[in-house]
Amino acid sequence: MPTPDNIHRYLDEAFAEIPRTPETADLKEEIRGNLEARVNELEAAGTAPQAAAAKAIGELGDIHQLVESMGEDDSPTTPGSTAVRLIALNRIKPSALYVVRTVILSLLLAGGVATLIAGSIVGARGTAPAWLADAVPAVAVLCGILLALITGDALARETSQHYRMRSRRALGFGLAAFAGMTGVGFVAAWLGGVPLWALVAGCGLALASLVAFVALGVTQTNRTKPWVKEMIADRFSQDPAAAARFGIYTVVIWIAGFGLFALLSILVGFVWSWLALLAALLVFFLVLARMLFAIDPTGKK
Amino acid sequence: MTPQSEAFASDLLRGHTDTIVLGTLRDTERYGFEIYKTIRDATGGDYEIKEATLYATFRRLVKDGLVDAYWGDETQGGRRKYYRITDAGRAVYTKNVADWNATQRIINTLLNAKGTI
Repeated sequence: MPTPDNIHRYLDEAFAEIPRTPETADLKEEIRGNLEARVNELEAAGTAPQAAAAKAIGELGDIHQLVESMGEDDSPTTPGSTAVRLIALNRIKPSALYVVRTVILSLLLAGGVATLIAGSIVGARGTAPAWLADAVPAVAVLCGILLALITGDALARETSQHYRMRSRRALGFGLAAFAGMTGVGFVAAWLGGVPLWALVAGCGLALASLVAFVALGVTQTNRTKPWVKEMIADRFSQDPAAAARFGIYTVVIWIAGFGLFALLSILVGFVWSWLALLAALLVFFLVLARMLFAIDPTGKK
Repeated sequence: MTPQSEAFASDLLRGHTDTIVLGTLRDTERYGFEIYKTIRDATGGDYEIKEATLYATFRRLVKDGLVDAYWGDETQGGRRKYYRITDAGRAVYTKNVADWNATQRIINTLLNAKGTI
């Protein structure tokens, strides 16, 4: 067989025998890009186009074996021993500085949130000193900044299971977290006796946060590393019926939660009605845990 | 050097392809042909890893999470798939280099050992 002198025809021929999957298509495009880079280099050095293509293909070596091996290695066997090996291989130790930083920031945040809750409860009873009520909005902003730092820092970091998020995206998530935390804090300040502007600003920030999280969420690509994806095939992706059922449960839980919230707000006021939303959140996560990681009676994962 | 010993040397080298590729990615992200060229130029042409072999290596490294692959956004010409070393990849690279240095020392010592019978 003469050496082929057209890289596209050569690739089509080499990949003709194997089923077209995302992986094989990916490999084909990758080889095409590299061959074109080599051809361009040779042509820039004065080689004729056909000769350049033939030389590039010659240098590539035998890809048939590689292509054929791709068609075969889709066997779904992943024994436990390889899982252990993979975990050990992929383990990334978080840097000490990062851990210390996160622990300190989290403690500060916990202190801030405690201050917010105390400030709003004491303020609502009318027994708060004036300076405490005045301090609550500032504490809310501080809590927002702390949560933003923790969130952004964590997302921009490569872990054993996930690739790092690009800095600008992590910043976006950080800002959304800031808006959410500060918004909730302002609402708490309003409950504690700060004038109406706090409620308006709080709701505005919370809404902005929600919009930002949704926008970031729907445009987010999967950062999970391939070795994790391979090991954890979650139930919802395998069992669409369970996923649909979970969707309906979610709607029911939140309708009940918000309904109860409205009812309690009228009957006993805002001081206690938020517990309905907390309860809904708890039920939601319990249902999620039960359904996503269901124990399969057949023993198959 | 006889042809036979050359074949043996390239077998020995092939066992380190993963580490060699990780090494080329230490400082910068590169696409496949660039990695190939870096390795070719580094040896001054003495040794050539087959490009086809490299594709299998890339796939394995990505699967093991040692490198992260992404498509570049070239506007002209073919698209290129870039590889970037991960922290896990750096750790494996450092470990493999240390292992190789230790092994090399031992083998050198053993090859020179005369014994005292």
